Amino acid sequence: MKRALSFVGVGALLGWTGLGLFAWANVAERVTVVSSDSPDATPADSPAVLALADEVNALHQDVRALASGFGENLTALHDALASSIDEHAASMELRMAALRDEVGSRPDNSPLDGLADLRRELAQLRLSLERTSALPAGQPVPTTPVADEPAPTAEVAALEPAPVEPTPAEPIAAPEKKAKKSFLAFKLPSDEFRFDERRTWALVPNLSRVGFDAKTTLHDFTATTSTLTGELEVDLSRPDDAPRARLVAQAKTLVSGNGDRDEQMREHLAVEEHAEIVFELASFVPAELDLAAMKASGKARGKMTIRGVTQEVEMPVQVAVDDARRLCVEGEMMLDLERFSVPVPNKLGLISMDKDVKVWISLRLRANPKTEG
Amino acid sequence: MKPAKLLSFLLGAVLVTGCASTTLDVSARNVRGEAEELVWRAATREEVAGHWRLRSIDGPAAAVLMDIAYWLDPDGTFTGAALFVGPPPTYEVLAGSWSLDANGQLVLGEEAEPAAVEVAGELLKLAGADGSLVLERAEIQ
Repeated sequence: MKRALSFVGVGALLGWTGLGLFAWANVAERVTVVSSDSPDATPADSPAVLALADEVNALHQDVRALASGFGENLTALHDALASSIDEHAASMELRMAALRDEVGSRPDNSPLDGLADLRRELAQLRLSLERTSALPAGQPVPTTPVADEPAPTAEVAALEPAPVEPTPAEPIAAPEKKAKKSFLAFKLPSDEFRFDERRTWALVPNLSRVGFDAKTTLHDFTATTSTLTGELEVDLSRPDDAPRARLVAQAKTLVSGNGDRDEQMREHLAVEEHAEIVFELASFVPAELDLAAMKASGKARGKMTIRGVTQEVEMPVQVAVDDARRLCVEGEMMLDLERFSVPVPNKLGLISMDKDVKVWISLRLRANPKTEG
Repeated sequence: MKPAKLLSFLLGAVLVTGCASTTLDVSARNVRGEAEELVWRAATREEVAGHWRLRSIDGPAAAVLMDIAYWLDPDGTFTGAALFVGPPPTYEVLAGSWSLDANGQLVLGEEAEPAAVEVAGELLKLAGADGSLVLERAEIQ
């Protein structure tokens, strides 16, 4: 039994070996081994590889064509530049030769003569420019013959450096006055009133009045007049800078609303002999000054003449500019009539007037037109 | 009334009125412009026509105008001359047509803004944004 089993085992082993050889032989015929770095490598004869190869070939051809064209263009550019440089050099040589000839043809052969000529021409141009700018607008500009202009001396031209004159400011065209429509049909220029300039002002009598308030034992009264003349010259922004003013009232025109009293007042003022009551400003001591509001206040000091007697007085005043650009001057002061030798009215010792009266002014002045810009 | 009482009454009245203070108030010292004292009314076309010259001027226009005059013809045309302060003082002359619009305002020319126009006696007042002016009829003597 053991021997039979051994024969069966040997037989099975031999059979298994033979079957394995047969199988190996069959598989060896069908299998081809390819060695490649990429595990996804495509066989060289695949359609994709062939298309890629064709594309690479086409690109190679394009690069060669571009390289060829670029080289040709570089060559052409080089040639053009070389030609241009040659032409420019030739032109420069010609100009230098011409300049040499020109310099060489001068009698003294001085290189400073050219500079002198330039200075001469510059002087002529300046003169012409000055004449032109001095002409009124619209006037034709006369031509200036060059030969008529005096040439600077050779010595000055040769030795002195060209004076560096400050460049004259460009004449700035005056801006047109801002115009606006008006109900008057005229285009009104803009109001260019300035508070900070010295102006003369003329009194507007119809809008001005001076007077005095008097106290009596019976009743108080006021006497006024608008028969005035006057003028003021002042820089309102600097009213203490030598102001000048004169105000004249006609004494006989003072009225108080009572005929008998007015008649007596004229007698006391001796209006027939001393027709005018005059105030002349000597100085102004400012107390407040508001440039933005165009207002000022202070003390006006000067001399007042009443009934032929002149005395120094001081009146606190306020000055302002109204919307019509009129100057409004208001002020008042106490005044002792006896200082001016004015008899103080007294009727039988029963009705008497205080010798101190309050003199006041309410003036409107208009700026005199300026005749120059 | 007995004569003694009547005399006392009259004497008292005289003293009261005679002693009343006539001192001018400080606020009344300013001279008021003539235009403020007059009673103005709207002007008709017939009243506007004529030869006018300046009498007074107020407002911003007064700062730049020295004088102004108009001839307003009844046929609707006008001419005017204005003297500006300058410097130097310079006259300007213009002409055109004038009319009263639906609001009764005077329109001088085509570009001017309408002006309120009023009369008081022989005075004509024009007023607008640039001020007001009172004109008087020009009578050459």
